[in-house]
Amino acid sequence: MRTSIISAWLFFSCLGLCQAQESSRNVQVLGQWSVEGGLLATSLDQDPNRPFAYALDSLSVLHVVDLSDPATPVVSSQVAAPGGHDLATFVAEGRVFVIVAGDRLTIVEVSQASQAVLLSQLPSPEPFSRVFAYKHSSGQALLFGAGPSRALALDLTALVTGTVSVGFSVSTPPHRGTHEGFENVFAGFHPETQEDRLFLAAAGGYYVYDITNLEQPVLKTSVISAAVQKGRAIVPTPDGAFALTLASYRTAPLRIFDLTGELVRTAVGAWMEDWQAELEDVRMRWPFAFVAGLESGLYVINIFDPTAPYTDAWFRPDPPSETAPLLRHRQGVVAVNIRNHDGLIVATDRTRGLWILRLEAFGGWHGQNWGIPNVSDVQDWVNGPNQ
Amino acid sequence: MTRLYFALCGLLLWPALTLAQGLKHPSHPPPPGERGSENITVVAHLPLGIPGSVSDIELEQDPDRPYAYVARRSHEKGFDVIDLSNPSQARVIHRWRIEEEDLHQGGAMDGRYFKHDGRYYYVQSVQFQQGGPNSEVGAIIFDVTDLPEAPREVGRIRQSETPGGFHNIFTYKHSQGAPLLFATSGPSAKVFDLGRFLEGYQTEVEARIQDEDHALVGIVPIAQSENMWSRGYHDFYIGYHPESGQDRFYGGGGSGYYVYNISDLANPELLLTILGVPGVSWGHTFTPSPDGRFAVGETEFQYQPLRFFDLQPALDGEVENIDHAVGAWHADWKSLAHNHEVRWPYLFVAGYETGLSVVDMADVTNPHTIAYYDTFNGRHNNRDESAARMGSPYTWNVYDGAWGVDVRNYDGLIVVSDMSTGFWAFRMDGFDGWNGEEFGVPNISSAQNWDSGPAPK
Repeated sequence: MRTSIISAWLFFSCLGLCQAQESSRNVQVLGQWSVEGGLLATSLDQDPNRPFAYALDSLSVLHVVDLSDPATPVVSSQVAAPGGHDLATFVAEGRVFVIVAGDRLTIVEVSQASQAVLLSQLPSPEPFSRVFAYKHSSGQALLFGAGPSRALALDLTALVTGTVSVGFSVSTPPHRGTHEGFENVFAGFHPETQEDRLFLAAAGGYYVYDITNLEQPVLKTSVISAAVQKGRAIVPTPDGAFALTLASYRTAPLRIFDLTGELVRTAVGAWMEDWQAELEDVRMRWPFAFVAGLESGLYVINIFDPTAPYTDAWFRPDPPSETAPLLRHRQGVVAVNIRNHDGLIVATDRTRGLWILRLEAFGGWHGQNWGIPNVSDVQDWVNGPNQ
Repeated sequence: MTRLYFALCGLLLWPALTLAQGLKHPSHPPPPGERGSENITVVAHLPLGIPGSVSDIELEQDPDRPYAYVARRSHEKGFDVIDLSNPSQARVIHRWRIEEEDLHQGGAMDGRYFKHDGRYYYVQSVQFQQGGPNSEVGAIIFDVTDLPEAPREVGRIRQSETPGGFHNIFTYKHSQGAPLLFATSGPSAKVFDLGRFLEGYQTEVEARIQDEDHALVGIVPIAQSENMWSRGYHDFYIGYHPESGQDRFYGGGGSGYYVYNISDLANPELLLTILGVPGVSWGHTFTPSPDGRFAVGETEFQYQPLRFFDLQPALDGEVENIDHAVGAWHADWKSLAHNHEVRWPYLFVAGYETGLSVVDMADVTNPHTIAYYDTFNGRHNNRDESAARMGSPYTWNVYDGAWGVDVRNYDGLIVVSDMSTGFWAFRMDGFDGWNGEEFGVPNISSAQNWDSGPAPK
């Protein structure tokens, strides 16, 4: 009898372990880095000679994590960045900076990974929920921030010298509903028109601005979908023809919109693997989109046909919660980053830290290899976007 | 022996565990022979005409009156009466159509029956646009007492100041005794005393000279809020609330859902709102559980699930507004559910392209499908096909399939009106009728007790 009980215990223990972390066959977990309290945001250094991730934890500490051996990530250095919600990386004159944004702006130089240096902590003109660093076609380096009342463009060069210089700001365009403000931001160059474009997830939906002339942003397209009171994230395809969007609530699918026209209301496609999930963030490496889906994990979807996206790969850090879906806390994968030169993927886990992953047959990404503009969230800090 | 016992227990529990997680709807179109779950039997199917011409359905509840009414919204404008004396041999016995059909722009939408002074009446809501005749008519009332003889029109409810007709209606036996008609009209719900209306039509002279508001006995406003999606109601349900002794109005529209105490029709009292729910810009259909504790809300946009709300915090005065759902249900996340009927713990859903679904909502945080039948049987979200057939871009062309559903309480017959495939009748295994008391809840549903009213005697 005792043998049977022990056998049963071993069986169910093994079953539990097997279920703890699951993925599709084409996803390989290379390593994990745990941190108490979990992570809020991560940025991957894109320099092939700098195998680092910059990770902001829930206690507002910025960690420089060495991924030289992805199986054993090592913290190289740390800096306190109080009030931080998100971060962005900026390279200038051979120096590497991380800007932690939130209630304040904390500027950290990480050129020497083993010795992160706090340069300054500045008052933020808005408490930013998300930020995005962008090399404008004019050569100016900008930090775009999504705030509760405005979206702002800050001069990054000035920022690292301790000055907050606002380039421009936009308020939420007229919309139905009671929400105001911005949730997320992306900027990208549009080679066909030679325009710099700003993509904002905000109250009422999503907005695309032409920001070529930084003095005068021009609203090009509003994406107002009836069931989206507030957009959570927006990212365009590299050619700027379509936008992938997330909304701020559980059960909302990833919607794909054709950006033709000034006002867009109807999605041309949508994707959802688990309709009761909540999707938090999305990154694009066409034809793949990498989606952070909180407790349902990380998904890689193929949007080659934007009207019929499908799941290509998935990774789930934890077994499904037994809590009723609409009553679950927001935990799990909150963000994803992709290293373009080798295709390394890191998933930022709100509770479990950093997951380092590889996707089968994805050894890196360059738009030209796919016959499209080489536009992603990764910047060419030396040459800018229009080279 | 012990091992064998546990193995047997596991085998026996497996189906129960699977069922608790709910049935999975098939892909679309479904594989051959798999349009429905095994516990659903098709009793009857009657194609009624051109696809897209069918709207809502009403089923009489009296065991001696085996009739269903199916509204016709386009191409053919009126309603069909279906005789269910022998449900498996269901047949259309009358097709009433508006006069000068081609001149009318719009059609018939919602239908409800009522009983008054020993006679039975059917109320057909209509929506005819200005530019054609009868745009001021909201509903047409028929005496159907003598079915299977032909229905006899007894009058038309007109509202000239708010033309465009009534999109939805609900007939309710108020606790004060009056048979009432609630109708969407302008920026409110209008309440008509059907007894008073019928009295006004006793003579032809009275009918001609009467004030069109002579039967209007109440107006249920819609609570105003900032940046409302719409200014009026789309649909509603009225039910008695035994615990408080109140008649309650559950309205979908505006920017969400609204509950009023309408015990005193002259002074509707706002009890709670459900506004600011992520994903809900506008309320469509809203139905409470028999005890009024929970409610199911639909919002008419693609990808939106049915949401389940716990009203208790607002009813207890802890909050004035409910801003989140506690549960959600989808048959297919790419589609959209439409009208529904609650027979606790079951929810019967007309799910447009997903057809009929029966949902167990005993645990509102985890509602799950227990039975289904795909009345539509076509590809979902097929924009080109649907646009060609329906001629409308409304709701992203998921607007086809099962529109309405009703349930006969005395024997559990389920009927569905499908916009394209017509009339359906079903039976579900183990569901032979419904009386709330048998499920430990008040015997409250859309079916009225026209003789005694809703309050326990």
